[in-house]
Amino acid sequence: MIQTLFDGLMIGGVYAIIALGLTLIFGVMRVINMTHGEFVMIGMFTSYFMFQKMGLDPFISILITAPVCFFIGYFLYSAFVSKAQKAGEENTLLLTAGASILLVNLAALPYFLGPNFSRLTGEGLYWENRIWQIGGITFNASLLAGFFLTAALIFLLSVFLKKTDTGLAMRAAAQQPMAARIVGINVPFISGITFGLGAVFAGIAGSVLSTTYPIYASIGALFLVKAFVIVVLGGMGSIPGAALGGLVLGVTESLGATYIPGGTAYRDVFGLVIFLLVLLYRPQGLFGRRI
Amino acid sequence: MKTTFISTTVTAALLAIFVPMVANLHTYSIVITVLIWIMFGLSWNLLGGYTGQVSFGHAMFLGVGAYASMLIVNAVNLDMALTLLIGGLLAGLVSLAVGFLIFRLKGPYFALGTLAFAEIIHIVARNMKGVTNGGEGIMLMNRPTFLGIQVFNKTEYFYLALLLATLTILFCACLIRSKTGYSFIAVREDQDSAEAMGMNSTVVKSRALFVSAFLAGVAGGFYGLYNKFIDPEMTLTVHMSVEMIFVTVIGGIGTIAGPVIGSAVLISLQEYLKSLDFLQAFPSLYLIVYGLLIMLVIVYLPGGLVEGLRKIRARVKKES
Repeated sequence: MIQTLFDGLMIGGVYAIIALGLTLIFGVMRVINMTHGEFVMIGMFTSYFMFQKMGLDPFISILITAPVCFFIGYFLYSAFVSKAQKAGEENTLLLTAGASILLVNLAALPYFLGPNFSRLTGEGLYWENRIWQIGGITFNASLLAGFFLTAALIFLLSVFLKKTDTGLAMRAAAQQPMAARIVGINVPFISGITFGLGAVFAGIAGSVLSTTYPIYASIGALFLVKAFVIVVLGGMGSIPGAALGGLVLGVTESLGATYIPGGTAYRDVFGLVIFLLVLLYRPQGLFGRRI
Repeated sequence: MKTTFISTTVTAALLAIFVPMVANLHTYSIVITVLIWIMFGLSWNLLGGYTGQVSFGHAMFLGVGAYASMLIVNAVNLDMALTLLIGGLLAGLVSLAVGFLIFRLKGPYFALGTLAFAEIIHIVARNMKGVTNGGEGIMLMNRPTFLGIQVFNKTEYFYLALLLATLTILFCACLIRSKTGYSFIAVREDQDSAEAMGMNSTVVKSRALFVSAFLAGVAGGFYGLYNKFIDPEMTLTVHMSVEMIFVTVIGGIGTIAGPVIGSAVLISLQEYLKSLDFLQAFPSLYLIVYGLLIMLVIVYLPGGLVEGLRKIRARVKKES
């Protein structure tokens, strides 16, 4: 029981990083980003190729993943999304859905993996099937490290949003885009930064997951749906909500798969059912509050 | 109204006469696919375009229709006219349950809610092996008939698709010019004002969803029988829902011509890109171009191709 609980918490921690990025983007510019899952994929791919070509540890290649995702995210926003925003929410949704087709199929080119599955394994990979035993509970080492990373990132993000000028500008743009413009904040620029930052979170999660999940071009969809669930669970635009929502989803999936007969096959349904219940009875989310 | 009616029937008649004269098996399959997507697009458009409720889960109605029709034809080989009707009604029935829960949500929340519903049905269909045969899918085992005429080869499917698509277009054109249709538009434009005028917005939306789901179910049934095989991946994925939105939005959301033009352009474009030599090197290459084009249309032509045509016509008029 306790083991299952901790398994859920660990994977929930990584879910939380992904959701954090999505909620940040939604909070600041009201865009539901359908490409978010693809940034997880980009993170996985970056770590995979960095290890294959240069032997870099996935946790070190985060330093490469982060800027890569930032620039792709920033470019996507300033070149496309910002222009579609005027025409309304549906158009940004569709635009990002189109961008997601583009990115998935770019990744499926034979220069990368083609349509194949792969796994990050090899000589000298510390994290491969590594477990840490703490107080009688076994932890998947990379997920536990990822869990601490999540905690650190949430802390950094909240400091960033409260103490730095850019962070304050982001919160201003989230609350009152018009007023933010009037006091001289370059809202399109700040939105681009936010989009990039959101992508960075997804990318980091991808790097963390690269040692535990199979790697293929269209894996993003799986995480996109999970991130939606979490963001709605926690309240759209709420950062503590995304963090807690991630843990709740991880634990629910893990408990459901273990204790409900035949639950393993329906693992992904539990999250969706919670998602619908929350949407229907508490659409502002469990911890609904704006950033 | 009259022009829509005349132009639709004339176009359909011309297609019925000329396509068989020039078509080979490949062109038939392209034309049939276009016709199927016209039906899907129009179905989505009733709810998303005219009633303003953007659904990301219309694949579930498509899937219900497809599985119902396939199972009925395989089990008792009922006439297709009845089979498709039953498939559509079942999809409509599902939509009533879904709508009852989901119309409390608005805007992006509604979109996410429908996405979640469709995903749940997708996963259930993959695991409920007793009914859907899981991921292995179901093959068509019988030769179906439509009003007593056997429908099995491409030519027969082409005529049937043309008939169904024409009926769908005419039905939608009539519907949106009826009182019910105007109530859809009223709810889209301003829900509060519509309520103040004495409309029950939830009832109006549920009606739109029912009709939309019915059409998607019928088209889904036809899609399944035409392919002679269905599995959860080709009927119930988010990709199918999104594709329905693409054909509508690229064509022109909230217009009858939109999904028709959008499907014709997008499906032919897909086929064209697939056939290009330099894109054939890798299977995913044409989808990259496709994704990019969709992005460009949404950014530079938010009203879709219909609006583009309108602009060109206005410019030509001004100059002459």
